[in-house]
Amino acid sequence: MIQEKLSLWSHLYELVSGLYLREPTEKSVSTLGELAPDIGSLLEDNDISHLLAQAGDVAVSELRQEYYDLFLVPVSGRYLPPFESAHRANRLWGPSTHAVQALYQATGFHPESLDTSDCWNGVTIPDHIGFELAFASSLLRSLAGAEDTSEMEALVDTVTFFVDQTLAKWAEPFGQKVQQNAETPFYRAVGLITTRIVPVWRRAFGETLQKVSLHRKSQST
Amino acid sequence: MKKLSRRDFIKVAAAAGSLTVFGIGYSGTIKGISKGWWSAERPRDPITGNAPEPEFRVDRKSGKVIPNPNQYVANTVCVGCTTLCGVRVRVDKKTGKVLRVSGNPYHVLSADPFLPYETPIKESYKFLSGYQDSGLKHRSTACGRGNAVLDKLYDPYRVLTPLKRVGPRGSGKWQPITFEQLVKEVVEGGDLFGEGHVDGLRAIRDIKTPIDPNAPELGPKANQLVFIAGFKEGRLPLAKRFSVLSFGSINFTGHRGNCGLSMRAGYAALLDDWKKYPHLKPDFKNTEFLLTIGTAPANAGNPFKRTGKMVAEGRSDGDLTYVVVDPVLTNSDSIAAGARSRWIPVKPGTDGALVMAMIRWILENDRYNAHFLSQPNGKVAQAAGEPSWSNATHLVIVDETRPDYGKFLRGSQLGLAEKGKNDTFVVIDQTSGKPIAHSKATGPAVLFYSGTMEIDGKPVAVKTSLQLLKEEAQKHTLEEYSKACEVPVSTIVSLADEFTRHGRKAVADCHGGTMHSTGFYTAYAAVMLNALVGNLNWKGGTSAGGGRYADVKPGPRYNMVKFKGKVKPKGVRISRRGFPYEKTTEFKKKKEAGQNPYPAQAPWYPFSMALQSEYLPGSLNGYPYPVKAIILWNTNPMYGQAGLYNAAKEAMADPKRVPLIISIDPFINETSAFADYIVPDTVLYETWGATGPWAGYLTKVNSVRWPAVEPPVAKTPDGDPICMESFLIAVAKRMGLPGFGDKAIPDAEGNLHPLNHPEDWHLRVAANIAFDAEPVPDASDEDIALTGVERIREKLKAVLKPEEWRKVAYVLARGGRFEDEKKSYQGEWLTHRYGKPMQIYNERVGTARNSMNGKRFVGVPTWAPARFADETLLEKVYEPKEWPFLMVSTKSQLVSAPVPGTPKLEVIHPQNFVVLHEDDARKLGVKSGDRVRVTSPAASVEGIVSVRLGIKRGVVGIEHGYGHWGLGAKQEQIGNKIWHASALRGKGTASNLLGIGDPSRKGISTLGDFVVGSNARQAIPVKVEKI
Repeated sequence: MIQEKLSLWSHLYELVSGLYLREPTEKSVSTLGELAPDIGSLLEDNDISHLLAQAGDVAVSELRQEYYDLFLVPVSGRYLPPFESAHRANRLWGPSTHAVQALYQATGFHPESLDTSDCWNGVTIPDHIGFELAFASSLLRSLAGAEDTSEMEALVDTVTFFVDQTLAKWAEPFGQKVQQNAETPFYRAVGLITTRIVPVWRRAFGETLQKVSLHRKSQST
Repeated sequence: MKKLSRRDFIKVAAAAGSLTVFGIGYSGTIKGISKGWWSAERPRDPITGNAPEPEFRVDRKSGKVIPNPNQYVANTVCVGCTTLCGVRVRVDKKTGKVLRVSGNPYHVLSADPFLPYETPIKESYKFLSGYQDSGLKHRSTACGRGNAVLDKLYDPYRVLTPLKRVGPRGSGKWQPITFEQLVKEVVEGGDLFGEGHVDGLRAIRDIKTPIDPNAPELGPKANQLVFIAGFKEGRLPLAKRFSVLSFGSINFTGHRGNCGLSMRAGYAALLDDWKKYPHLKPDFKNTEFLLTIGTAPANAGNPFKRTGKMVAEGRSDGDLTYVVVDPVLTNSDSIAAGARSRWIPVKPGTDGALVMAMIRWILENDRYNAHFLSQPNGKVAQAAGEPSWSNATHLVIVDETRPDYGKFLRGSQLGLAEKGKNDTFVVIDQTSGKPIAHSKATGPAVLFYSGTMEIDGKPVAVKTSLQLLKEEAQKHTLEEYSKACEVPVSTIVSLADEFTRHGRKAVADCHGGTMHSTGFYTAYAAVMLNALVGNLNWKGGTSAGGGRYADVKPGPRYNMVKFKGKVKPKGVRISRRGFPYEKTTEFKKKKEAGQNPYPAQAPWYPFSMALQSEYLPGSLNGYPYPVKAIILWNTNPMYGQAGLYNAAKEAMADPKRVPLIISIDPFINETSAFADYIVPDTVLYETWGATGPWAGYLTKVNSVRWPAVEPPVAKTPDGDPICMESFLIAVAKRMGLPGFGDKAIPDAEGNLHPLNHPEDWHLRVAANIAFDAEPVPDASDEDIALTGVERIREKLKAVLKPEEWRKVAYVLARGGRFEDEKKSYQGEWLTHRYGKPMQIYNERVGTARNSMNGKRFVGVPTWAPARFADETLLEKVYEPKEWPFLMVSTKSQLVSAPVPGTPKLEVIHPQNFVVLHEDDARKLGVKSGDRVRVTSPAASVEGIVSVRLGIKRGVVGIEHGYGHWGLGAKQEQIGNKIWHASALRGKGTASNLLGIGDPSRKGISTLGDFVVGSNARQAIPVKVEKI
């Protein structure tokens, strides 16, 4: 049960990571429409469901343009650099970037290996929101499959600390900015999802992770 | 809308591929970290975090040095690329792990100025510190590669025990076996894989019986063992001793044919040394104008790091201006250097046209150095103030009807000298206008002459070498050359003009860009520019290097090349290099049968060297004879040779072609993947070795490596790490080969010493180095302790004589032996000078024939468009209409063969790109980040586009070193363990997969230079399409 819940959140984090790392396609937009009620329910916000349900009303080419304007083209007037350091330290490659990079290296996470849209190929700045969300997803996935108690505890420590020290410090305000700068329901939904994913996860999961750890500890004794 | 269950949510989300980011290749589980700041632990130091403590501290005021007692700093040699820089390796005494790597301040390739050799180790630390700013003056660093490559010591994909294949060859399934089983099976053979009998090395070693009694020139059956090695990183002589001098096979090669053979052959022709293949480099400190063709200082070439430093200093503090001729803009070009650096984009494979145009202009406008060129011999040259000379004035027989056509006219033919070893060449004396023996000339000789001389009462047409060069250059107009290379005539003329305005301080050099099908003549032409200005052995001109102290030689302490039972190998190499086709039975039989003997079944290369690129094709084709076993060491031709993988992968997997393949390698690379056995090897700072820089230095240098850290590989029963040395020693001893075992190495008094362990060899080589010329001082206990030589103190004492070991420790503690930099010059001449004359005309080239069509080669540089071995032009077979681009592989500043898979570089530079010019990208409708397919006549690869202005139109540039499918990029099964594939290691595009075969040849082939056979990895015809 716990593994299933971990796996579910791992997929949710991956899905949100994909919203930032992959250009929208007809398939992804329609799938999100299909998943709209579940995402809204998981993130405890019906507006998400409503906005995602409207996503298909806008041409994918327009969504793609918005994706570029929001996250890739600095001169668009609506550009929001999707990098943590840009929002927390007003620069690229700030201290948080190096800290995140060190953690990726230490844990064996390779953002370069992710399946992203070609426009992100060669971008190696580690604190891209998509990379951070994928990292969180990867940690949760590993946690769901962990069998060894000490490894599980280490993973719990790592994911908790990582989310607390990085995403919790900037995902919510970043999501708000996305909501403000977006013109389509789809990207307003993306912004809203981003504001919700960390606080809801922490609320729902802080306790669960403790349970996981305790449960495993009791099993091992 | 109906709500989905959680399971369905996962299924739907995962099914929508466009929402997922973990692709098929993603390796999965990552590990949690329970220590570190992320688990709320504070770092040890608020400023430096958990970075290692410094290895020493130096008081800025007093200069007092306080070493860190927990670390030692080993001066040794980097093996991260072929430059082989001196490095100092910082080791944690407690863990035995390497912490960091930086430059060895004693080593010429790492520091400028480098420290005086007598400087005590402790004192050397001062020169790296802030004390009196000496750390800036003697700054000694390792490059990006050098810093990253240490990760390979701890690579999770490292082979640590001997492996034997358990599935079909190349299937990726292995069984760990003991060292004893390994040695027994490879020596004795048997039904090793359940596929039938395989001959072991004992059965193959027959140094008497010919492979083919009907073709005795092929040599004995022992030649059916082929040893394919890598570059000269300091251990190669032992491998050569085993395979050539003890086993008796003629088939031993380094990597040159897949590296820079075209350049080396061009220099060999110019310098007339077909054995050592020396090459020249500028005296950077004093060079004023440098023209680099198909290489780029500080981006490519060798020595990479020193050249970078010299160029940076030369263009800022010195008088250096340099021009890079290359299809791709390199990092050598610097806006900050202003007019001091320029880039001339050239069509790939046509640099030869550009240079021949320059030669024509220089000769027609009297801009050559007549004073230098007209000296007919060394003595006259010296008297005239020239430290070198040339054969520009020597007469060549040009009567095509004569058997000696293409040979130099000999003094004996005119009655000017005795026939035999004292025979001379002939020149025309400038004063008398009469022919004289070149050695008897007392003054300058005529440079341009075309006429006749009477031999045996008949007039015979002769020309001087320089006349031949001029006529060859005049075969095309400047406009024709310009059209071929796509460089405007005005640019060519201004380049030639500028080049010849700097006297002897102008230098031309070339390298890997000449690795195309006509690279030899391109290189010969490029380096000929040096002869035209007469810069050899001059300050600011060119140098062949400062040489070395005796190492693997009949040295002052030990004779490392002589032993009882030493074999002189005979026969023809599997690469067919160094042997003229005209002397083969194949040729003679065809002649006897009245057939045209041309073409041969495959090309023969009479004056080529280390032709690795023909070793695997020759072995797999069984031509000129079948091969029974291959030993690969420290090399990866299936990745490194353009076109080989696609041409040979099926044959490599077929044990009927070559029944036994043994690879000695620390990793499972694209070639060792096809081995039957993999022998683990030591890596980097775990290894022994004695080597030296290639060129680009002016004083004597020996770079020496010793095991600064303990290797993690399994041990032999004798307690040695399993590695190349211990494996070959064990095989040799089991077979009872000469030159190994208890009485193997004679000392200067003739006493015999053992070769049972790796150190038996390497320490005695080091003893020669230590005692050559004036012996070095004894190492102090402090030197030994600070550098970690302490860890091998007992080995030093056990192997060496009492009077030797501290001197050898002195050499090891400093990472080699280095002559004082002050000995670089004697006035305006270099101290260490190259002695042979420069060859304006090379007789050996001019008298050889192309074995594929019977045509003679031209003995001077010439312009030759891209062609196959039979000289069919590439454009005729692969028309530009269908193949509108030419692909070049570009040199990476960070990635080299030993480096892939290092986490540091994976972060800095995880992949390469398919580089296109902006105009080409527009025509193709692609932009940076788009995915494209690049297709050559042999294969297709995919990659990500990078659109640049810094590439010539019509060119596709791909940085070499990426897109691996071995070295961890492919899954392997070792016993019951699975080594999962790492997607990151396979990232990017492998340029060599686009390499093409040669349709004018039979069997497996790759395109090579039509004269010397070097692998063509440049100027490959391709097309590009958006995916």
